Amino acid sequence: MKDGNRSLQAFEVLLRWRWLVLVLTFALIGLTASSLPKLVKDTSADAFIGKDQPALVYKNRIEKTFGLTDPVVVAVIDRDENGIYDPDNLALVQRLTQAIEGLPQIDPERVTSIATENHIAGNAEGIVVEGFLDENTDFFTAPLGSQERAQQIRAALEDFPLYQGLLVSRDGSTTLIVAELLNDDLATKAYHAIEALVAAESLSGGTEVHVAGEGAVMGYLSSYIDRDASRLNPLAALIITVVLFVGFMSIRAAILPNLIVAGTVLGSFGLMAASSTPFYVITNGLVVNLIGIAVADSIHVLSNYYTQLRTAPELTKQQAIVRAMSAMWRPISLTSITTMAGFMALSLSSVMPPVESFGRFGALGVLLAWVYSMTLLPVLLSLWPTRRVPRPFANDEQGHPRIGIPERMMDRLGAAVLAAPRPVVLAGGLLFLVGVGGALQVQVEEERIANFKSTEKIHQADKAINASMDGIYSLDVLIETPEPGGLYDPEVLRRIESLQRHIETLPAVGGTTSIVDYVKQLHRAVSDGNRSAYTIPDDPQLIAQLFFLYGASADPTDFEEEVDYDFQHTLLRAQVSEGRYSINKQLVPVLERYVAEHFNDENATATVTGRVSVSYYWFQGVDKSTLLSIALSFGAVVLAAIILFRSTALGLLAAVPVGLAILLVYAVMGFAGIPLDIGTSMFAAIAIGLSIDFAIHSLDRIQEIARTHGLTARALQALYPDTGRALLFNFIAVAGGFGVLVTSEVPPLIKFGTLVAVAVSTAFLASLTLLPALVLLLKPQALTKTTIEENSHVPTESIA
Amino acid sequence: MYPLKVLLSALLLSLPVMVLAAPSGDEIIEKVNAREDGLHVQRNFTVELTDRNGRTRTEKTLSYRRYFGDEKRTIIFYTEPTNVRGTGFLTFDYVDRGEDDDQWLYLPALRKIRRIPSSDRGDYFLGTDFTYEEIKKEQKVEPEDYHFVAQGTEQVDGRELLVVEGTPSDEAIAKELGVSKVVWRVDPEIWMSRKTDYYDRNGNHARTITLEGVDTIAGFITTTALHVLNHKTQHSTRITFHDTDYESAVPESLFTQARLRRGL
Repeated sequence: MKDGNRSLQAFEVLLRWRWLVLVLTFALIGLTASSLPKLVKDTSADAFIGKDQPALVYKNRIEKTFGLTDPVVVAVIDRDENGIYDPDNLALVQRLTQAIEGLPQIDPERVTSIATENHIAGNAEGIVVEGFLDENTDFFTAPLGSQERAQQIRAALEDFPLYQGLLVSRDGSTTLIVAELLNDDLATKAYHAIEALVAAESLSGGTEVHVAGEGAVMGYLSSYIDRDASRLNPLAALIITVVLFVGFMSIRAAILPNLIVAGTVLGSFGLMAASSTPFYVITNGLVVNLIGIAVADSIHVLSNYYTQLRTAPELTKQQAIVRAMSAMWRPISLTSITTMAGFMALSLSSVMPPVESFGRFGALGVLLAWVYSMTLLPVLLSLWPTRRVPRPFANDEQGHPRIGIPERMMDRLGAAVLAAPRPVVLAGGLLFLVGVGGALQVQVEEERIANFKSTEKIHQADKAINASMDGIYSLDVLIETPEPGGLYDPEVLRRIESLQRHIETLPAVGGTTSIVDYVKQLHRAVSDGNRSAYTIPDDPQLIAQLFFLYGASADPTDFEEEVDYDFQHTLLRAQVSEGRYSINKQLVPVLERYVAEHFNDENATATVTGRVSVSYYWFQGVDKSTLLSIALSFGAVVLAAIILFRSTALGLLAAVPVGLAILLVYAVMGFAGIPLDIGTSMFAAIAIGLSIDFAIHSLDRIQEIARTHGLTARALQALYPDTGRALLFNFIAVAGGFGVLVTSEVPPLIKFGTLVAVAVSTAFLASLTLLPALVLLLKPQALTKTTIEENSHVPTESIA
Repeated sequence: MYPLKVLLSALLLSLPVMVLAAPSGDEIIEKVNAREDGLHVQRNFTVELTDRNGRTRTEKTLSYRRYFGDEKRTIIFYTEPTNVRGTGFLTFDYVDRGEDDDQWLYLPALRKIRRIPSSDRGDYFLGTDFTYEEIKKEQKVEPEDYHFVAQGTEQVDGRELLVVEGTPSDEAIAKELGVSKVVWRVDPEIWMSRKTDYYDRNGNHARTITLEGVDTIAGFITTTALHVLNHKTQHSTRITFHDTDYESAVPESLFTQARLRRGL
């Protein structure tokens, strides 16, 4: 028995049991979707790093040991002569500090500003440790609230190297309030609460207040993307529905694909919840992706169904559906398998949990879309009360297939291509070269703040603060000694001091802080305030006693950030003014080499960590794995195509439009200066999954034509009015859906939309121009060779 | 030693507590403040500091205290950890609240005495979670600082304690002490608060001081262990007193900068 007859019978059985199928598919949708309420969000940046990655392990350890979390940073800036040193600005800092300390998301003990920090000074009699803004002090003689006091504070801070560039800018224009979160998950709420506090202040002339910081960026970015995506995802679905309606002029065609989409999306995210996989920031992109894929399957089934109805008006609804399914199951299965292969390869090649899950659930979604398109869609079509042939598919008055604008367009395109295959291939080759040229210009770069439009407050705040302060990003070195009190060793402290000097020579590093700075400041304070005593004492006992003295003069938790309880571990923090990967790349490995050379002996070991290091490792994975990931996805898709077509030549032919699409995505990035970052690194893999469909539908139809009518330009013209038309609407729907993202407020989503639209357009055009042209020139035998097994196609209509 | 005073306080303690007429807040605090604490005392105390991760640091001291009239002088020498051994603090607490206390510090590695600025009464004492005021008053309360209101009784660990709530008498005191409210739970058997809660100026529950050990030594009701937990930082301090001795001589000459320099 022939394969084609077997598939006819299979779909006849399916329709005979349609009520059961309907119940079963709805049960499957219900079952898979039932876990949906359990879906948890993890929109943190740290989620991108595998939990056992050393950089993150260390960062978490530091958070625990030193209680450090990513801060929200408030900058008060006044560029007049006195800078921030006037009574109004100082009072503002004090008010904001107190208000921020009272916020429930903020650790009240971990708010740092001029209003919280102590001045450490010495005079002939003794030492002074007191707050800059304390009311009654020994050191500051002028009353709080006077200009004179402000000048005294300025003089004191300018004589206090530790706070320069960190707490106040060297030019006196800026001071920071650094507030640490109780928990990184509270970042968004904290950011908005602090914004509200700032907005409630009426600022005197010239004073600006900015809110920024890693804590703010992280929290804000996630909600920013989430909010935008939750507006755009439904809009994408709406646009696709409109395209369906316009393309098919049929309510069926607008509603039924949406049911397939709903089943696919609900099922994928339900299973995501059931497997306790969180919804990451980038998972937003999966929604549009699945919509596009599920709709494409439906478009091809519906197109063929309507064509069957037109070609053989005597067929019953059921018979037409069975024929359409029998014709379409193979290309739809092929595209589903290749797309799944692409997603699986993305999943397997990524080290980042969100990307890994994107690939896994992308593949699952494609599978679900395939299942529902193969079962639910024919059943629903058979249950739909009418069998009306929509206008675009109906015959005209003369009984010929109606030639509408889309058909005419595609037909002309086909005629042009098939008449001149050589120039088409040549143009394709040129485009390929241009693509390579552009792709070579792609820069690898990641900068979290660039994810915000430059008009966003948070973007401006980041730039303003980094311009005047030592830097908002922190690079830490954890120094560990083998036993308690190990940090009293002057030799270890001197090494830490040299390490600081080394770090300060690295690019974008504004300054460094360590306990050495405190030791020196204290040493100077107990030495009558002499500047010459701003050194590390030679006597370990004295170092111990200096710390003891400071501990006795300050709050019990004052030193928690810098050194652990028994003076065994300490944290050196460098302030970095740029958050770009290209800068981090010049910092982290260099510092790691230095540390390996100068530490790591029996007296002390050192480990590079902190936000800058985590970001570096975070993105290094992308930097290194992107090409591999693309190669793997591409390879997997091509391999799947080779196996499915049982021909290397056909598999490679299917790869041409996809390869060109990816290349052009990179070319656009290269020419437009869009860097390869965490978001754009995934686009290629997504684009592969969407692009392969066009090539496979086209090639499958070409194979069918070639087997029955041979490989001539005239025969191939038949590709255009039906398959070409279906691909056109497939293209418009998918490109339109992704194109919606261009209207986003969020730069990464704009890029996502634009680049996927580029890929899909390229794949669509190449599948209908370059691919047939190549086929015509190469005439691969695999297309015309017929075997018993492979002849799975029943001619569905006469070829014009 | 004032034998008469000891006798009196012993008498006072042996009297059955009059519960017929509930005492007012002021009366309870008055009784608390009437507790005798000796002209001079010598004792070792151990400070155990614990941070929010449960890590502990221990410091041991030898200390002397003596009244000079109403003025109180204290000298503390650290014996452990060894690298701070010999570090000493000498403090003169003046009665006149307008006059700042004097404090000197001796760092043996520097061989120099440094004067350190007086602290606010609400500041933390030598890196502990106790304030200077609490250390200085030794379980007593400055009556002028608060308005006291008796709040009935509360059962704590099987004991019926008298609850007194204090609110700072004025804004300046509230600011100086850093509190908005204090709740004492006074044990009428010993006239000490067994559990005291402090609320910061924002009204948040800030700290709880628990009397963990009390003993009668030479007729004086003497604290032997005191614990304080800072609810905001989860940092805590336990002070335990050992070898409390009210009888050995504590000469006046001990409380000088020269003696501070000589160390232990």
